[in-house]
Order: sequence, then structure tokens, then C-alpha cells
Amino acid sequence: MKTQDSIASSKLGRAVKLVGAGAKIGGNYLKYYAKKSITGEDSKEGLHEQNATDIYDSLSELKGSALKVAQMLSMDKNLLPRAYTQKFALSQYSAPPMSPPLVMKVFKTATGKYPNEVFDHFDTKSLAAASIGQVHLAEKDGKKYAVKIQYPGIADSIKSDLKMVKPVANAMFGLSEKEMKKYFEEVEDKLIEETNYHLELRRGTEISQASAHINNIVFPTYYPEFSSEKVLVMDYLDGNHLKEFLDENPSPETKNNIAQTLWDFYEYQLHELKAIHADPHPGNFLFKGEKVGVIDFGCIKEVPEDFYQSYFPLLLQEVQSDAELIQQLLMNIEIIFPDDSPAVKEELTNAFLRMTRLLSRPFCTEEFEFTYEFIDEIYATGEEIYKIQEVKKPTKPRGSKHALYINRTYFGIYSMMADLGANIKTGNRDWQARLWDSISAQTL
Amino acid sequence: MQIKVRILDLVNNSYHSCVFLSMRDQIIAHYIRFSNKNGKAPVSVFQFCEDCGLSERQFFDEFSDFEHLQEEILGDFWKNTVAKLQEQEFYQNTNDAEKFLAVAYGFFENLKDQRSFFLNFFGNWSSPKDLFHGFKNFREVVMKYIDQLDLPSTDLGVAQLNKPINKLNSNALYLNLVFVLHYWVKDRSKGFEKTDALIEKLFTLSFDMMETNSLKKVIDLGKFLVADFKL
Repeated sequence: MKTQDSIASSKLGRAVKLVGAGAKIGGNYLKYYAKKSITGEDSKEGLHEQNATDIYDSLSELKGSALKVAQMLSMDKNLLPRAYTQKFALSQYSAPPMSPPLVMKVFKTATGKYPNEVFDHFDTKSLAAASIGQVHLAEKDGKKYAVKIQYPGIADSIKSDLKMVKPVANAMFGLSEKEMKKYFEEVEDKLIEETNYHLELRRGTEISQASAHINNIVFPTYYPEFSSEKVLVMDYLDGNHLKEFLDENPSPETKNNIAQTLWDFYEYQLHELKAIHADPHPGNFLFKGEKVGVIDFGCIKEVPEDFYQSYFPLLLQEVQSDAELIQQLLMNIEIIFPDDSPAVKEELTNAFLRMTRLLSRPFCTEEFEFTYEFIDEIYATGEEIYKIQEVKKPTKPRGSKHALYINRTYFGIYSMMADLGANIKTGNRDWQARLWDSISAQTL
Repeated sequence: MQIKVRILDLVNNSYHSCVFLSMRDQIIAHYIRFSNKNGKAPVSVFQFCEDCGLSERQFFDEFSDFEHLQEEILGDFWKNTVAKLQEQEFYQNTNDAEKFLAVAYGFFENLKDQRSFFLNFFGNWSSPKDLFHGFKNFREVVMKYIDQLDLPSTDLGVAQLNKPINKLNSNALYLNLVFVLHYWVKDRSKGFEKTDALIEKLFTLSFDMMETNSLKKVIDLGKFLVADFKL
């Protein structure tokens, strides 16, 4: 066969190699930048904005999912200052665009018809990029719809993207692949769930029906008759994203009302539904007047009861003064382990309590004002805690996998609250009293 | 597409009601059906004609041999895809690069209807190189289609160079198409969605490269190939 090598085939071979080399360069860049940011002797030096831009730029060569993992893991570690998280928050807009013919094709394969056979009008230019596809505006009988179309083969590329971030993440935390496994599984499961629009439709419908009583909240209606695993049709919600909304200088009262609606929505999900919309980036909320529109129910974290019963009591003031109870709870959520030395136990308990006292401040008062100073204090405390040896280079994986998405969600909410300059009612005594009762009953 | 639908009717056993098909299309339909039924292509024209009740003369009036017939099949799928899309409003109103993409998607969608046949059909073609040289007729059909499109062109600033480089570009589109064909044969993803992803990445990159070099998309494509195609 070798003797038959023709010009055309060697050309193809070269093209393919070139492409492969491109991929490897991309991977090296990723490793290089990630390493540079974490192994630099002066860690503060590595944490400035220029570096954030570099990392972001090289990571965005990968698709949204890899970026999301990096973003999540770093936020959870508390190690990134605001410059980073803002950069990372942009990740939502970086999914690769789909050509109009591909949009047509995916829609037709999913529903059996071309979009223009179903709608009076279908905009082939996308309205916005969703993390794993894109959203198109459609119209039928004068009513506007948002049509979410999924990129083909995305579930597989999520898996391969994750494979590429794994070594970087392992290096970041100094843990082996085996030890990181539980976190990666959680992230992978959630990302794969996002590719199932049937699931999103069901959960979106359930949560929006259950939360409909909350003042000023608006959800799109989903249309199963036009939807499939790869295509999701819902009402088009009118409104601005947070940044544009704030640019129009709404009154402090309006901002507070909006913040209150968001806060109540999350409190209700977490403590009543025990399932939360776990992707609270600004692109998933639309603001108009005093109405808050919530879209994208692709990423829902269901909170297991035993985790709930161990994690949230830590936010209660009554619990924070009971050293024995705290130790027990921290063991339940895998922050400390029975075989840890007393010194490690104490150090970690103190560090965790310090962070928790800070994070639970809103819950401990009737009203709370979210300021940037508060957010900065969280980051500064996070950075300090990160200096502790057992946090920086843990000897075992610490922290429940369930905390991953819950923490991320609360970081997202806190920073949106700060952007809104929210001064709102936060001390919901109902769930706190319920939790305290159940804790007291157990310890008696 | 009318023709294709009728050929399919015929392939799917209802050919007695399809007497209005031309002899050429009837023979093609018989051929696909024979191959599917027996798991392999007929060995001789005599055996084939006997099986479907035709005379050899009827066969040779239309085709010189099986190879000729095979070549026509792929070309037919392409032409039928184009004809069907030309009825669509979005196809009429879109630019020519997107027209080509739409045809590429439609073509592979149509091949799906006869995947068993094509797997058998492409079984002998183990590399993109073989495929590239294998289907002169198909190539002609595709090139004819490409040539009447107004695609993004490369301007090297030297008029004499632009013509050959743009000819090379059209050839590259066909080469890419053959590459996708080769990928599709081996694709095991659900609904062959990876083939769709490949078409998207490969051809948008091709069109971009015709205008400018786009390193970003090269990396995106490279990642996809390295991870999924084990190149």
C-alpha cells in the first residue's frame, strides 16, 4: 500500500497532523498557564488580573464545560479573587456558534419538521449562546418563543473536555486522580444532566410551579409538544441581564425588591424544595421593572436529606457555640475525619468555623446589607485559610461532593446581591427553627 | 427527492406499485435491495438480473457494469438532497456557503436511510484516500454543484494565483466531504451526531480558511479529532 501513496493522501495526512498539533498546543497552553498560576512562589503575584485574562483566554479555547469545571473548583476553594471570578463568569458566552444549517438540521432531526414549518418566523441568528447550545427567537400567532438548540455530540465532548482538565485540577489541589474522583463524578453527572432537555423541561416545570407564589417571580412556560432531547421550546421572556439592568440606574427600592425576590426564591428552593437552580450566573436571570425572570433549569442540585441535616445547622448561631456538635457535623460532611490528628482537627475546625461565621452573617440577622466589602472579606478570609497546609495540600479529599454546587450557588447569589447593593430581609426563622428542633431531638 | 422516495418505496418491497419509475431507477432500487437482502453485492450481472426479473439487455442499456451503477447511486443521493432543499425557503434565502453546509447535512441524513447498504458498499474502501479516488462520478456531481456556488474566495493579492488557489479550495471541500464519509462509516454515536459535529467543524473551518486563517477553529477541530477519532 505504501508505494501507492499519492499526493492527495499525504496532503490529507499532513493536514490531520497539523490539526493534531494544534490540539496539543492548546493542551500545553492550558497546562502551562494553570501551573504557572499555582506553582509560582509568590502566590499573590500569580493572582492578578493579567494572569486571569491569560488563563481565561487559553481556557476558552476549550468549550464551556472545561471552563465551568475550572471555575467551579476554584470558586469552591475560595482561592480566586474577584478579578478571576468576573473573568470566569464570562464563560457562559463562549460556546462555539452553530451555523444556521446545523440549527435547521438539529431541529428537523429532533422534531421531524423544519423550524419554519412549526413557527411563523424563526430567527436563524442566535439570540444568545447557552453553555451547550444556543437560543433562537421564534414567533407563532404573535407570541414569542425561545428555542434552545443543543450542539450535536456535546455529551461526548464534555467527557473528553473533562479528561483534559483532570490533570490540571489534580495538580491544583495536590490530590491524586482517585481522591478527586468523587468531585469529578459530581461535576460530570451535572454536566451530562444538562444535555438532557427532557429532564430540564420536567424540572423547570416542577420548580416553577412550586415557586409560583413568590412575589414578582416569572418563569417561562415550557412546551413539551415542540421539545425533545435536543430542542427545548419555552416562552420568550423579555428583560435585561443584571449588568444592563443596573446601567439604567434603577432606584434602590427597585433593586432591593428584586434582590428580595431572588433571595426568597433561593431560600424556598433550598429549604422547602431541597432542590436548587444551581447555575446562578447573571445570564440566567432577566430583569424588567420589578419582575425577575428565571431561565435555564439545566443545572439543578438536589440536596440529599442527610447532607442537609449536617451542613445547614452549621449556619445556626446556636450550633456555632457547641464544639462537640460541630465536630460531629464536620465529620458528617467529610471536612474532618476520625483518624485526623487532634491538631489537624482543631486547625480545620477553626478555619471552617471562621469561614462559616462569615458566610452565615446574613442568616443571623433580620436584615442584611450585601456590600462589596463583605464579598472582599469572604475572598480575603478564603485566601488566608488557603495558606493552612492541610487546606493547600490536603492529605485526603476533604468536603462533601454535595457542597460543590451549593457553595457555587451561594457565591453566585452573594455576588449578585452585592451588585444590586441589596439591603433585604434575610433572617428566615422558619427553617432555622425547624433545623434546630431536629438537631436538638437527635442530640437529646 | 420525489425520485429518492420512490426508489426507497421500491427498496422497501413495494416496487410493484412503482412501475412509473424509470428503468434506471428501478435497477438501482433492485440493486440496493439485493445487497441488503443478501448482505453483499451481487456477484454477476446475470445473477442479479435473474433475481429481479430483468433481461441483461435492460441492465446494460443503463449501466456498463456494477461499478458504474454504484457510482451513480452516491451521485443520486447528492442530487436528490439538493433538489429537496431547493424547495425550502431557508435554503433559497441563505448564502452559498450555508447552502453547501445544508446540503452536506441533508446528504448524510439521507444516507442514514440506507446505512446498511452503504456500510456494505464502503466496506472495501478502508481509507479516505481510497474513497477519494474511488468515486469519479460522485466527485463530478459534487464539483459541479460546488462550482455553481459563490463561495468565499481567497485573495492572495496576485490575480494569477487566485484562480488556482480557489480551484484548490473547491477540491479541498470535496476532500473534506470524503473524509466525513469515511468518518460516518465508522461513527457509532447515537443518531450519528458526531458526524454532524464533524461537518460543522470541518466545513465552517474550510470556509473561514478560504477567507482568513482561523487558528481558533483549528484547535477546536483538532481537539475533537484527537479525543474522538484517535488520530
